[in-house]
Amino acid sequence: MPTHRRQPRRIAARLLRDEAAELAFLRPHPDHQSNGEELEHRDPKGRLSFIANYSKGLPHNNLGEVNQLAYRQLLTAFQSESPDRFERITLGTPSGVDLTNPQAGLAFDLEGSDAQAVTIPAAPRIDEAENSAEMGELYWMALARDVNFREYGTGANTDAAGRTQAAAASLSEPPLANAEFSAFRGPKVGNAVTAAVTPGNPPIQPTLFRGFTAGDLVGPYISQFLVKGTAPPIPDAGFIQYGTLQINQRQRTVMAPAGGGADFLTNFLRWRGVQDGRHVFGGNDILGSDIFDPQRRFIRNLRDLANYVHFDALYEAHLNACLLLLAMPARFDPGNPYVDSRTQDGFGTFGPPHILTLVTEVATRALKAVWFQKWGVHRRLRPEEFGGRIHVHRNVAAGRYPMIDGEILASGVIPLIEAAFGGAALLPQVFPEGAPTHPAYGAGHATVAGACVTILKAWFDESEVFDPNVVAPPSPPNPALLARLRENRRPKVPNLDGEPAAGTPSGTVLIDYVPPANETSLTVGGELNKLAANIALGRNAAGVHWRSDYTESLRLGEEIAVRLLQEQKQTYSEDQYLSFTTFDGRAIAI
Amino acid sequence: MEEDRRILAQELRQVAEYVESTGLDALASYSDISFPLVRGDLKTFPRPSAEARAAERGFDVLRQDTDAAVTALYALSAALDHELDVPQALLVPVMPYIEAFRAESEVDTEGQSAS
Repeated sequence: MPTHRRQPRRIAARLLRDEAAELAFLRPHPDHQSNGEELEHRDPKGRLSFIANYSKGLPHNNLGEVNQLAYRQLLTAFQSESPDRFERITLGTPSGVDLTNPQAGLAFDLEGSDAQAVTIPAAPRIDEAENSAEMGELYWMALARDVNFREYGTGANTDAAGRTQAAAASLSEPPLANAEFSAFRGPKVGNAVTAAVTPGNPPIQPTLFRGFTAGDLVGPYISQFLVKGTAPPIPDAGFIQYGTLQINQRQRTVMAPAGGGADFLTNFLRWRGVQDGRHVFGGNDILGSDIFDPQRRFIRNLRDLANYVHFDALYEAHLNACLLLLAMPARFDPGNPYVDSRTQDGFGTFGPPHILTLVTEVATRALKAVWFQKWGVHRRLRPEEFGGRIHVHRNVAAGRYPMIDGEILASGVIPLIEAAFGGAALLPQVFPEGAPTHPAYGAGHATVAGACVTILKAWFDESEVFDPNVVAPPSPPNPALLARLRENRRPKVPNLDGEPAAGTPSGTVLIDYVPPANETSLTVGGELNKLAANIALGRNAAGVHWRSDYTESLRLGEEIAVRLLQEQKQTYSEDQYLSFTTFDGRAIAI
Repeated sequence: MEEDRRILAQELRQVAEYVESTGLDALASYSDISFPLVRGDLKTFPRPSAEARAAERGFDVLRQDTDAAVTALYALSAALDHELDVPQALLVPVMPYIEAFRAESEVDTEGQSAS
């Protein structure tokens, strides 16, 4: 029995807090290491230029390089941790956008990890091949935003320009044909990035623009948790039952450029104004606005996915996943004390209300931790800002940034971007305002995804499969119930144009997912990992984050979740443990 | 009278083997039965149906009872091997198994006679 349990309740409550604080105190606090670029890159006059660091919202020169005094004010504010100093930072324009919450990572917490007790590795540098590969992937994502995931690698319909095969070849590792990036860290088959399924036993799965866990590479690009519904009587009408309300998995999405929509910040003057946080530049309103599709649709492509993560309530997709798992219903983790209980059900502890709270309460802890990494450690520039550097280097002040790694500058993707966007090598954005006003690394969405998905994997039995055939008939027999339980586990994908009947617009109904022969079943754990990747990589597809923002932030969020669970574990009366598989494939029991 | 029939160590062993080979084998095959979760939502802990939960517990009950009978039968046969008294009271828990064995043996014998 823990020490605190042997004491009168009042004393026990205090001892418990002491024990939790001791647990947190005894964990090693890591050193936080940036990549050092902040103190290396200099302008032609020999002054630190901060060109590899985030500066959006601060004042800039005509090339989009930050005002050094303003940047130093930002650094000074962090060194002092003084709220007054933060208030004295010079912004690009008084009427522009503010910096987003730079003090968040200075906050403490009373549960789980301290925001500064966890860290992520130094970010890739702009003079390294890995950064080139990440930027190459983002350019390719921009070019392939409107290709339906189901048409990747086909060269047909939305992929008629053949961009997904070209992207896969480009991101593969030399000396493969047309491979351009030696340090692309995304998933590959051997040295090749693959765009579509190659049948076989087992089939070779597509890896293009996908996440790094095993589950990410099985089945459709989009997680079942972003398409399926649970609402009776037709589970796959795509509505999630939420008490007496229903959540439609069809979102209000934006139009593709071909349909009257737009990519944004593809003009240098507009881009330049937005770096100062301006909405108005040269007398013109420089921000466009979303052009919405009158038809609600399931997520079909990267643009839809990017739009989803533009407006989501941050943990929204994970709460929805929890609602789906509860309604499925999916089995709880075997370590849940009530799974095998003869006499009791869980409720406030280890029951549905507990997980519904837990999956969301971890989010704010994840945000504080990643906000410290963003502002307090790495201050990595946004891809939008790096796109500006490439454009200046190529088209405005030739050769201005010789430190930029050559692989991205030599890549064939940049001429394609320039040809498609009026000669600018800027990274086209899905959001009219571009990236939000906080540094890129780590990613808020990805850290929250890592934390929330870890909680869900710990709570539910990850091995449960999306396969209607595994559902045994209930006892006593109930054919209608059996049909519903099986439908809850039937994998689905959004329809293409003309499916299942001529004239049906794409993304408006769900159809059965038909796996290639010998593909393994989709699992709850795999689809949760895929959900995390979807949410995080959706931000990359928008043009606001890098691949390593996703990979390292997922791990950061996972650590936040583990520490929260470890401390909460001490508070329960029940004999219990929770187990899960980490994003990197390790089995953990808490 | 049936009660006067003498029980030998050998017969108890045969009954134990009979219970093992029929009851325990049957229980082993029951373990393949799975019961889907039929309830579970925002408030309700996920569970199979009430009938299925009873059945799940029933499998455990049957196994415990059968295990107990088999071990008791071997214990009693060992006592008889050592020419020790086995009072009627100790036979009470295993009598249903002995009777089931005898009934099935008689059916088999009759079947063989008829053929």
